[in-house]
Amino acid sequence: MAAILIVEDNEANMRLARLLLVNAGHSVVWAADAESGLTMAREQQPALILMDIQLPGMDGLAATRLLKQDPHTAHIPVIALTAMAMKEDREKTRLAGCDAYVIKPLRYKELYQVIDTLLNPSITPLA
Amino acid sequence: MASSPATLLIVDDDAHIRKLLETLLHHEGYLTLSAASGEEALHLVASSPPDLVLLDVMMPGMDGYEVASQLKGNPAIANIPIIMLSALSESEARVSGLESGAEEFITKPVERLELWLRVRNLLRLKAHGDLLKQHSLMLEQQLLKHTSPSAQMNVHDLARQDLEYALRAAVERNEFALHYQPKVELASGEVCALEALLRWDRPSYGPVSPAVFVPVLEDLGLIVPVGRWVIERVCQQIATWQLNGIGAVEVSVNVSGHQVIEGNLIADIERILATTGVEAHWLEVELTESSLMENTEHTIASLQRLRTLGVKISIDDFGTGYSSLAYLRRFPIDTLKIDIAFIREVTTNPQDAAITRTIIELAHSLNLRVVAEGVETQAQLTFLKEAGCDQIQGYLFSRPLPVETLERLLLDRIK
Repeated sequence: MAAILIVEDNEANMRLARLLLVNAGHSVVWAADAESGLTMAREQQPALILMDIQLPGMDGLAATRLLKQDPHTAHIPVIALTAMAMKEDREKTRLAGCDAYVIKPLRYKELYQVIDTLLNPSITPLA
Repeated sequence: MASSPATLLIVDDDAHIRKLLETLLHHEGYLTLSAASGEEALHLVASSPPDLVLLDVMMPGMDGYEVASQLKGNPAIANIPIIMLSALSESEARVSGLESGAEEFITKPVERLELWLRVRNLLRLKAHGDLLKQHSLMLEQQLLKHTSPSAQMNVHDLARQDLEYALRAAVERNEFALHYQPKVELASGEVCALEALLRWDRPSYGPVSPAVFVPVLEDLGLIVPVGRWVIERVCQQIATWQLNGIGAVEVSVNVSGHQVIEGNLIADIERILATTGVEAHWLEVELTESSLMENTEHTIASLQRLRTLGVKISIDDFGTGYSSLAYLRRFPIDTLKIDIAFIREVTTNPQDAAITRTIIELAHSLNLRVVAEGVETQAQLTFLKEAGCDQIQGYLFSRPLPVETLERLLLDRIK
């Protein structure tokens, strides 16, 4: 099981995601804004990052771009958490370097499946 | 459509068909007007022009062809699209309909998808002004993709029509019954509540699954009276138990989203509680997660009124949909019922186990109680006990029972 960083400003959303991840056997660290998320990603080297797109200050897309430019963090898969379901919005997450996205509110099964796929890249590559 | 829903005029002499069409169209967010005759229809169009007319061909007095000709002969209203409805599918009927000026033609019984596609297309084209005649080909292609080969369609339609007639008769003759499945408190091992389940023994067929007939009742607009009957029956039953020594038992009833949106659920429950003398806290309504997420503002308001009465509220089939924590906090709920799909594989599928644990912790963090249904094995029971689930129901303890059998079980509980 893996160490997962959640970057999410809404504490209720973070708690639900953390509950889901801990129950699946993962360990979880939490950052409430993009800046501390970047620091924690560099220092703690999580196996995966759940990145809320709408954050106060620097948004999740900008943070993901920085993560993917930094050789210390570029390898860490990033899952965008987004309330935006439009095709253009999904395209934006892809262009920013996110490896996958899930739509909020979360569907539990979907979140698990996306995480499993990214943590075990041998199974099936995401489209 | 949310900003200004289109208004559709339904012209049909058959009240059942008017009701069916109203239900289908309201479900898609349209407003409707109804006329029972051609004369009434012309009157209505003149006083409040609709955006589209659904017009039955065969009516006593002025028939559909004549109504269409009159409407299309008046330049002021000739731009209102008309869809003809006919039980005849012969091309002559189609041609006559189109000659009299109708834009579209639907064969009865009306299929939901076809109705929706044709209405949507005509409204869209009307909004864009012209081109009304040019869209047919595109639409036919769309419909082809969604419909099975014609032979199968006919069989399917006939079976469906048959079921609809049988259900209308079932409602008139009151062929429904209720079975009750016990819920067990895990801490004490005792029966703590019941779920009332609708049963229909179709004459000369045998029992039909609610998964089959309830959606049809919903489509026919009959779920409202049947649902009301269920609540009435359950409250009478609680009142009887209260008096006969078994004692009052908490009973939950399944409530369809249609009852909240189309019916007068709250007033019905208020009246039934008053006439049966049952205290509100013995009644719980179960709504599915997906029905709650539709029409949320109206639903929240309705549930808050129910809660004020003292009725308990449970979210059924929880965990598969998009339910945000924010919503959970806004809904005045008492109970989460874990979707049966997770329980089925809770001891073999780690994801389902993790989701089940999450739902239990989530419920407890919100001060809600948690029920697992579909519990069939000792291993599932052990898992749920360890995870802290409050109540279970399922074949491991008891299947749904007819009243007489259930009463013996409840009496054993007391001894």
